[in-house]
Amino acid sequence: MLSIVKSMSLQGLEGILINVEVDISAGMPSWEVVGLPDTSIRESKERVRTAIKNCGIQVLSRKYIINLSPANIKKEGSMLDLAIAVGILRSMDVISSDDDLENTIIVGELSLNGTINKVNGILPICIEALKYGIKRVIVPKENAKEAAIVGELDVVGVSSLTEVIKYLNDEIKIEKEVVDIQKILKNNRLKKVDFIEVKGQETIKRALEISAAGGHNCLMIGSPGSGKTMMARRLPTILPDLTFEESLEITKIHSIAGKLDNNNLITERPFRSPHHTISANGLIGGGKIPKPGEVSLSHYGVLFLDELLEFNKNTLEVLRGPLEDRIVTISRVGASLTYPCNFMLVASMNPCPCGYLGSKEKECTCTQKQKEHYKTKLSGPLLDRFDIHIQVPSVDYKKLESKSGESSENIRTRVNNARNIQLDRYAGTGIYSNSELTPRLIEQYCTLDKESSDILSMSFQKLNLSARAYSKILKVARTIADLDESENIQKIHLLEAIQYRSLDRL
Amino acid sequence: MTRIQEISIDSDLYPEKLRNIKKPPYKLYTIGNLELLNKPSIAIVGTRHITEYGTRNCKNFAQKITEQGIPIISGMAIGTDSVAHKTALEFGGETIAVLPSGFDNVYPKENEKLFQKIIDKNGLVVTEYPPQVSANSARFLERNRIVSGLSEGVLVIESAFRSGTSVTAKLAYQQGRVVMALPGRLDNSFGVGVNKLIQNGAKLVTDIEDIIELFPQFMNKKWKNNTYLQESFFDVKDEYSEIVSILRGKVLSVEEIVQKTKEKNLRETINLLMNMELEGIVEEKLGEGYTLI
Repeated sequence: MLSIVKSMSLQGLEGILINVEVDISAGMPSWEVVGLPDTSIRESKERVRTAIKNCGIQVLSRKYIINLSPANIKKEGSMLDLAIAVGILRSMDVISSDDDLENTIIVGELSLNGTINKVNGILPICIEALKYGIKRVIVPKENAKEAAIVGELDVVGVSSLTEVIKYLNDEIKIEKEVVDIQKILKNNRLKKVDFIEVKGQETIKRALEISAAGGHNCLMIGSPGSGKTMMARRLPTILPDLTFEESLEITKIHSIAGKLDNNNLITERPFRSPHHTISANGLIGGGKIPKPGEVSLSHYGVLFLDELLEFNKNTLEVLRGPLEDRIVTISRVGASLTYPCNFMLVASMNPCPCGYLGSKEKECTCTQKQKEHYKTKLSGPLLDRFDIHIQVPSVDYKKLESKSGESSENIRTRVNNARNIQLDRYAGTGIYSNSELTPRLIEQYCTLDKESSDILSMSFQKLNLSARAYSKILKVARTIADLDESENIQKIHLLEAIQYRSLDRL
Repeated sequence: MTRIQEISIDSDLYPEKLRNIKKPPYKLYTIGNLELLNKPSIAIVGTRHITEYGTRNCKNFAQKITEQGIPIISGMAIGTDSVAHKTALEFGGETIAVLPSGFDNVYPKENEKLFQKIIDKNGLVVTEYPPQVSANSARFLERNRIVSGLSEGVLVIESAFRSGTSVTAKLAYQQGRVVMALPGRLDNSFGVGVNKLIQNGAKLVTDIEDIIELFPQFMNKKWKNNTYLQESFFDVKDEYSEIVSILRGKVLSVEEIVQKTKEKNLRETINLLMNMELEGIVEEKLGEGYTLI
């Protein structure tokens, strides 16, 4: 007898509705899975057969054909196990309810003893399922909370195959999983770190505030122990608040990558700091069927590259496209997928090879030649990526730790304010922050008065600023003006913006 | 460059001490304060690859020598020479730069600003080459004989074994100049040359007193407590004067400058510093902070 059960597979962030068609007929006993399954799905027949057997149901020797339609798309992952099992049990008449499962998708991985294990990517599956008009999802118990975030679906969390059989045969009722999104959003306001813990370093705080307000990429230069990483870690606490849509999108990506710890909505902007030995694929994403990389995992958050110059040159090179386009398309044999990656790049580096140039604790042992050579490593394209360069002076560590700085809450209020000004101004232009300004928009929104434009042209002559510095200075000046709630860019805004081009001025 | 003055060997302006060295330059091209040519002065020389240790001590000695009112001579190369010239200027002193090239091809190019500054601040630049001549390695050594020749004594900051600096020291010996050296660090290749010099008889100096003792002519009251060391030497706008006095002889981060000012906040200070940088009064150094040019 033929039975059809619906499930879903993911290609990147896109869900594909899959009909699992099972037919059991007389003939040579065999199990065949067709419809471009990958190894993990082909192996599922063994898991399914054993799981059914261990639930006390006899699996007869028959010819079992399992087709995954549409049959021309490659499918991967163990999430189809449960749907296949349900299909077989329906064909075997073990599940015999009138429930036609027309508007239901079933997702989950089976253990040999019949328990249902959690799978990755539940949130995007549920969001995509809505688009196909699905009303109910049957998911592993552990994933139920994550699925319930979507809200409009009936989420049924199940923990074993026996439970599923009973549920579908109407022998038991399972409560729909519900989560209170407002509560989750509120609960997560408690931050682990805060700028209040940072005393001094006012220049850096100011620079990070500007970065956060305008979404500018920021490069910090300072000796080891000057607090670069410490400050960067606190950056997410002053970033503008996440909207529910942004949260959902971040959670989707983390769900696919299997990086969702508590199967809950992510309500904090991500902060990713990959080690400098990371490969290009690790950074932008990759694999036979591409998985999201660090750039996508830091979507709507911060990508922090500590010791920037230690990164492989090619690795940094691949960042150029994603930084411009805010999406990354990865093409492999298996698929060509696009992930979003709208992140803020923050990096740190030492001022010289030994790291202690200008440090108060330790003496720099570099020669002039080494220092010159080090500077040449800072190539144009690399500097091109940062709107703000800021030098971090070394300070006494004890001083750094004592509590007396301004709280993140205060700073975030100003940042939010400046962001709202930008959102209003750019409404309808398709951009959201000053960092995204195109040359044409810069001309429109970053006008200078006579005095300021004189200063700008003078600074180009005197400080050897490069042409690429021009638009960066104007964008940053625009953000500083927004923080001051000033309609126009004034001289003080411009001068401060020029100050943040340390490396261009060398 | 119209202010170039040519002084030939038979001119009255030609310094006597230079006339007595082996192969004296036939003609000197100069811009700036000619008085300095005949003033007793001290040369500071050393490697172009100066270390932190060298920089610190070079600054210290240059400051002390300047405070005694003694002009500092050097070769305007990068590294030690630049530090010496800059410190002298920072403390309102006089300095003489001897170039290995003509004035149309100021060498090294990075120091064009410094070149201008020396002239503007009542210093002197000297070369034996006509304006269109460019620098080459042979001319560095020829230049060095004038550096030592114009001075009373040569202070060596740091040098590698068998380097250009060692050659200068040797020339200074031959010209009968006093050779002084800073003790070099044992764990650094740029400490080897100076320590060798000390072994060969150079005077080890640890303090300005050691230098004064070597030169009776500097004991003369006339040179002591000179009056150029006045604030007015820096004719900067009033609004900058506080930061200029904070920065004198130091490299400070923005943060430290803010702390040292009386009542300026971060943004005011940043704005002032940027204005000063545009006017060429201060510059920002990678990793170190702001310093006077």
